[in-house]
Amino acid sequence: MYPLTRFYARKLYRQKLIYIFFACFFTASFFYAFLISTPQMEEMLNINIGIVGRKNFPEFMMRFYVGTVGILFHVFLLTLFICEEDRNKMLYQPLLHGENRNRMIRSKIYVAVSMSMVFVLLVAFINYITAFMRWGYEIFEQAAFIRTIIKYLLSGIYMSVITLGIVLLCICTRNAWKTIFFVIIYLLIDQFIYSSNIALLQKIWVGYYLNLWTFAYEYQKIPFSELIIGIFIMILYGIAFFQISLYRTKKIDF
Amino acid sequence: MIIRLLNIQFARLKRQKILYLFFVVMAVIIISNALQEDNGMGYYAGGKFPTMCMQSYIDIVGTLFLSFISAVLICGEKASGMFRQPLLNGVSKKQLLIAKTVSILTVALICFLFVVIVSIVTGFFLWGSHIFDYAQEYLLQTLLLAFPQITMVLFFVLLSLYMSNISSMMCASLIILLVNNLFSQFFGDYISFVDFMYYLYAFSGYNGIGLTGKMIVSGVIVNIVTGIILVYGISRRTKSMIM
Repeated sequence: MYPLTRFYARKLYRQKLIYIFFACFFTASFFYAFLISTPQMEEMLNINIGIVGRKNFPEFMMRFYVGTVGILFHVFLLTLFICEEDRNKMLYQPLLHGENRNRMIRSKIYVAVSMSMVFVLLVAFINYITAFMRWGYEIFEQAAFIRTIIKYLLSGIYMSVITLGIVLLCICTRNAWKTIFFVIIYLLIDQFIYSSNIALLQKIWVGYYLNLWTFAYEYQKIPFSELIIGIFIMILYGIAFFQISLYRTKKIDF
Repeated sequence: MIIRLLNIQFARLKRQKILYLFFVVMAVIIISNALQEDNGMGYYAGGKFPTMCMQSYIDIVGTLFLSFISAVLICGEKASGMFRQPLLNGVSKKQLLIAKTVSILTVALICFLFVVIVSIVTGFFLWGSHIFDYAQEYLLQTLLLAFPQITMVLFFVLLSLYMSNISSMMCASLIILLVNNLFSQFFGDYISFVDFMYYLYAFSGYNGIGLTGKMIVSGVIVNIVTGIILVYGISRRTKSMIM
């Protein structure tokens, strides 16, 4: 691993907020697995544990992270990682030690993208642990297990693309609150597009496919064609975000 | 002096394009929700529509937006060194914090009223006078929700006095909101005695929680007591804070 990448990775994983967040997520997963035991509770939470429990539980809990909460968590961490460093004049420090802009931003992007993947896998791990504690080996029914793991991997791809988008926003705006605000607007527009009937817009919207996989094909296998189109669109967005980030970094006036 | 400070804060807020963009986005969301409910003959079509809009605003969007405004006005200014500028002109720390809190509070109430009014107007165009079928219920909810929102603003002001930058303030707010949401859902009966944020959900009828006289009284008391504690916390922090 390139020393600068290792340095950034160490810096990011020193954030205590990450550990607090995942401790909270474990608590949430634990509560949902163990505390929904009465019909009154099911009615109040609008959940049927017979459906969302057992083999479906890890998929059910996935939606609590992937989407709004996960994206907001990422934007807060990334603004801390890029915008705040920029404001504190720490972003260009590596340049004074002989690094170039390209390598510096690439290191940041690699750390950010791997972080988003690791977080999704961590969420999967937490959910499988709590589900195993509650239902034992029942959760490993082969078809459901493979389907859930595929969905987690797809979510990982989506979160990586969104991470690239957030990095691009950070580089373009160079301001934490503007980046956060644009991401909130993205989330609102994403919900609007998914619930609208504008088919053309839906086809080219990156967030649409995640919503499709998570909600329309909930506890079901995703059709191969939908899967390929979704991944293709996400990769396109990812490449565009990555290239524009590199281009904009060259233009930054430190 | 406070009036002058308040005018400065409001003038700054009025210049924030983000506030107007937020109004536009909220209006679009409310209208699209209304059209969706209308098409699908949803549960919230008609008189219950304003309640639904209040719930979705209170749930995460509105609360995070309030945290965002507090973060920008306090953490952002602290980080850029602008926070202490008025102090050079003879303003006390206390006056400055009062002006900031009042301006955030005003934004909170304007945003909330905007959601209520737009939802009623949109509902009126779609369902006519049916929008007033549950008027008594949602007007009471609007009135009651002012209490936890005021306490929430005080809480965010206190939190932003402890946070060093916008990102960590927002991250902390997100975690607090999620934990609160979790505890409100699972242990609502117990935390209703101590947690003012529970009433953001309870007063908006979230998850079908019904409004009872006992709940209203305990909600108002919990919010007032927490508010007093938070004001005390803010004043202590303001005194000890090194600008």
